[in-house]
Amino acid sequence: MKKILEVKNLKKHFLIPNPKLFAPDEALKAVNDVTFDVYAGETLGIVGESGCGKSTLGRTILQVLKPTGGDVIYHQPDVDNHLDDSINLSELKKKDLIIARKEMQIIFQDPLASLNPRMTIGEIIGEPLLLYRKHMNKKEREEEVLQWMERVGLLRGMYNRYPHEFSGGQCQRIGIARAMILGPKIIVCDEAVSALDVSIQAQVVNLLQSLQQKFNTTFLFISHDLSVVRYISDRILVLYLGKVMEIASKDQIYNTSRHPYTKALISAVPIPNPKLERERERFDLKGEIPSQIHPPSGCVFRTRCPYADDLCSQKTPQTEEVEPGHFISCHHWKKH
Amino acid sequence: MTSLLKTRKEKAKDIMEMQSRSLWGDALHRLLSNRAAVVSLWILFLIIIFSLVTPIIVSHIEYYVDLDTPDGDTIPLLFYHWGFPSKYPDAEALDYTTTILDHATQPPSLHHLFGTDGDGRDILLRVAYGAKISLAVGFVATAVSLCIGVVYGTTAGYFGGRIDTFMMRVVDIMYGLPFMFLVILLMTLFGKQFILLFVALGAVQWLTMARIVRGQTMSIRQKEFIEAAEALGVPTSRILFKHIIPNILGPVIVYITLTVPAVILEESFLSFLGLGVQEPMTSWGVLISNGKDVMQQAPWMLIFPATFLAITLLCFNFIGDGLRDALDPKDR
Repeated sequence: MKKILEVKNLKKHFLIPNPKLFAPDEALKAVNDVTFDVYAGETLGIVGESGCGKSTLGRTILQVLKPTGGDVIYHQPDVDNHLDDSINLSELKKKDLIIARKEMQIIFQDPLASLNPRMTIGEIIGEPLLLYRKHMNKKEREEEVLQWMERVGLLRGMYNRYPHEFSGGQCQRIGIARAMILGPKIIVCDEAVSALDVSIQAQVVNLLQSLQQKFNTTFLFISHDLSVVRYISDRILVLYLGKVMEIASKDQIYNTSRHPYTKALISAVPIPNPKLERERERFDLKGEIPSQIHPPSGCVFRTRCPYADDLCSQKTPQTEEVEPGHFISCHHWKKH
Repeated sequence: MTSLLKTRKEKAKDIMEMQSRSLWGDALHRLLSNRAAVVSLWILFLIIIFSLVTPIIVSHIEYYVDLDTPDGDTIPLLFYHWGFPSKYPDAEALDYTTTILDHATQPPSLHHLFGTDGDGRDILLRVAYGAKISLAVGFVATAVSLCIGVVYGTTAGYFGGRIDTFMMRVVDIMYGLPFMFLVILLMTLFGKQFILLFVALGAVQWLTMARIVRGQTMSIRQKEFIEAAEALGVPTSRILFKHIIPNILGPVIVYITLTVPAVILEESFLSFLGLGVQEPMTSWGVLISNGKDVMQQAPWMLIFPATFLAITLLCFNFIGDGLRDALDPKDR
């Protein structure tokens, strides 16, 4: 499969003002040295605990947040093979970022908060066209917006409504239409279904999948809900304290995971069958997620890892490919 | 019974035809169901009509006319201070003094509903004329402060960081300058011009407006729809004017209704000190200032302008209250 996005050593540090006078500001390493590839047309699930840097990663890839370091290389899918199709987004100036804006979009967690309450649905969905399809007149824009409203399951008569008149699921459909109307190649779904009821979640996830098939869009699906990620993703990236723990296909992650953190995450998912739930082996984590301003030395996960030893505190583990397409950052992956 | 049951198709049709109501429409509806605010709006409306219409009507009605010319004609006394109409070219020859004194300092009567002042001028006319000036000062100075304050505040709040720090320190410094000092300086440098009053009042009022707008902008900036707009590459000017400003207008409108009476009061205060509106123009502040000197002999000279001022201020405050309740999102 063709790579569409390469993320190389991406870093995003936030400066936290030091309360002590004249002391230098401290850096919160939200995303710290993250490297992975995304293939065209796939869905990459990004999972991790709250505060591990999932959302920051998504926004940094989109260049909504300026990266502190590293590269985000976008391969334009429509360019002929023998031409150089790659664009390093993190090196672009703000005014040149239009390419990233048109081809990469984001769907937000809170459906209502992501829509301007003073604009009608038609204005909200049509805004990207207003900005990037300047040749379109008002009538053509309206037709295009109405077509997209139907595609995401909204009625044409809702064109002049305001966001507060809609339910959460409908608002998320509006958000999806706005994100997809320019035909972007990559969409970051930042907890796109977490705020919705379970039944609505299923509808929205199915809508996303059908749109993906129709337009061959690549999804980066950020979520803390492992069941949803399992349903929608092709591959999964596990993030902990701004570092990649494991990247592998869905089946490898859920069945033959080699990383203790991934195992712990998966064992935290409840099983609907009470008998199985009682009998299964639990792999609980001890303690809290450590401070991101002063992360543990060596392997960031060692403070909560049952297998941690001296090596873990001295040396940061490198990402190794343990089997084709299965990457792990752990010194002891062979042990378990 | 069948009329109660609706098919799916009919329901869909209902949704299509249902009148969509914007947030502004909702707010207006709530405001109009607030009795105090509606009454205040009506009273203000009447005061504005009164200030605009009275001078026109009154100058044509005989019994408000105060000066008798030798040929039996009568001239409204207001014209005494505005200059005689060309109809009376030899008006200069009239013996005003005695005529004026005949009419001066009369208590309210049928001829002069609000009485007359020491120059024989009708208080009703003076109050109407003063209303025009007072309200004009209130609205214009507020508009000036609104324009400066909103643009300044959104810019500072949206960009944040050093720009914000610098811009807000400028505001702090301006706050530090005594208002009276500024006005006196302006008045002595450029003479006692009416327009300077607008400038001086607006220049002081925008500071608070800028602070309020900045705070609101900072909270709206955190919202996801601003991030969505940034991710779409919406130009900054469009983010400011299309996404931020419409969403902060609620508190701004409420603040406007508090600013208008504050400005009217400040203008009255300046006029009271003799720094504001100059004779023969007048405002409520000037009238009150004149009235307080003769409070014991001619209380009507104080009571009527003061009542109008108080009622207007109260009305603005009630409207402000009503707007705050109507626009409060927590109420929804």
